[in-house]
Amino acid sequence: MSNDDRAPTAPRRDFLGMAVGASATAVAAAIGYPVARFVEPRPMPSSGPTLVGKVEDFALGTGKTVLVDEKPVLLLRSADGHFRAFSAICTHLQCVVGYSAERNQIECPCHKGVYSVEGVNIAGPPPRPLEELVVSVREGSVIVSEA
Amino acid sequence: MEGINTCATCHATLTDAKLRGPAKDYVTSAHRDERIGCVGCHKGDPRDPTVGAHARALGFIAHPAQSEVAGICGGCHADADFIRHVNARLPVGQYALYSLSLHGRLAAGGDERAPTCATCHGKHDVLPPASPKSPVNRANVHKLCGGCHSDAKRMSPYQIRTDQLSKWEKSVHGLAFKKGNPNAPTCNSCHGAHSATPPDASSVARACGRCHEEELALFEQSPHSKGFRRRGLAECVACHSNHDVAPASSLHVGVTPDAMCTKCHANDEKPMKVADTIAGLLRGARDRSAAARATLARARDAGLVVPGSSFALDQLSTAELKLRAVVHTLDPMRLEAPIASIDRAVAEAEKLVSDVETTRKTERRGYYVALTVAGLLFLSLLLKSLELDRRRRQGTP
Repeated sequence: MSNDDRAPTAPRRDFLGMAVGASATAVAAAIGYPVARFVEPRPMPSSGPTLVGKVEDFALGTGKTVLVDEKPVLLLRSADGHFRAFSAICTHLQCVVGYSAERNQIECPCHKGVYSVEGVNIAGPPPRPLEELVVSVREGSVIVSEA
Repeated sequence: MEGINTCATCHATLTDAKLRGPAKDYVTSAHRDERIGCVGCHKGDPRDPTVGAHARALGFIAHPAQSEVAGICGGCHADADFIRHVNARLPVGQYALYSLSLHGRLAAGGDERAPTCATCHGKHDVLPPASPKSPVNRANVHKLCGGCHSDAKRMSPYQIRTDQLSKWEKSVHGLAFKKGNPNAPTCNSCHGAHSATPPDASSVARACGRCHEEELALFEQSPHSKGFRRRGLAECVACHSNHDVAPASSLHVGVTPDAMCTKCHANDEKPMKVADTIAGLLRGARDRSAAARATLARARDAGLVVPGSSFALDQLSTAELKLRAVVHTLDPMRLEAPIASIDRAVAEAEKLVSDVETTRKTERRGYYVALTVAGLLFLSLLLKSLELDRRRRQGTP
């Protein structure tokens, strides 16, 4: 009688049992995970401080549109390096506003609404200033959060 | 006489409500100022606590005639020196403007039905326009004007329409006003307040252009601008109407019977070719935008989180508003840039959804493959284990 013809030893049976159990667990987990996610959905991303880039990503005297909580935000960097952020949604008819470096002001392309770089409505139909957000710089990273 | 107002003190004690009411209203009105007092309008002697205060010789007027009211109010309100001491923020041109208005001219002509200051502002209970209770407060102006202008009996001598208020309420302006939009125009936004006059054909665009500045500037570059002026057509009103302004639609331009162009142009005229071209461009842009919005909506309904979709929609709306303004030039070439912006926004929105769908498909495929492999492994191990158990029980090798 060769070794191969012998009945399986206890450790071999144990290993096989463990393998069956492990694969059964893997299958159960693969089926159970989506069910668990359905019963207990993942919470939506919460609004909070958003990292929008590194300081060097924003040139002096420019404005750039970034997304904070899925909303467009106009991030201005003045010639002296100071940051300010405003909601990029015009307070007139919700068009997306942009920064004009040439005129150093925020402009709405739809109805010629004009805001100062302080976000104050200074010309055209916008009825109120742009909502301002808080900008902070930590270890070279620019972070924007709701006021 | 400053500081002494026995009129209100005495009238407040009278039993006749008609005589007591004015004193009660006065003490809560905008005119409750010792520099104005009852004597400011009624004259007489406020220092005299007897009926001697009502002496005709002192200029006392119990009930000013309708035609006298504007002059009495204007006596103070057109006096810049007086007003700057009482309330420096008040304008002083109301009386001059009222005199030029249709209302003022009718009153000056002896029409007792014509409105004067008190008709709109109230008599003894005059409140500042900022007060929500004031009839001339922005929230109440349409009811004030409509109170007279919707009254067919009252308007019949003047032979003017009485449907302005009901039309305005259903218009894009009225609906925006109802929703609380602070920019939505009400009666005096277009007609003026004290200078109330219907804008004539030559001034309509200026009235509309106060808010729709961009559209006016672009309209003035169009062939319509000169043509309308030459024919005496009321510029914006010719296509958009006045009190019942409908929401802007791509259907405004075109050669179909419901398009505005057909009101003036026959289908075989050259301008209709331009209208057809513009209509085609607008339709195409509208359909592509609608398709992109539908794609995003489908993705949302399917539970997909599409990062950047909100911004893509904002950009799409911005480009559409820009296109709507540029249409006023009636130049198909100038529509190309805003249409290109729409197409970029559409492409961006569709790419965002496509990327998320691709990722989801890949993840789903990976999941099914992994599940199948794990299942097959489990089954083969289970079968092997059962076979070994069976062989062990039978004692067979």
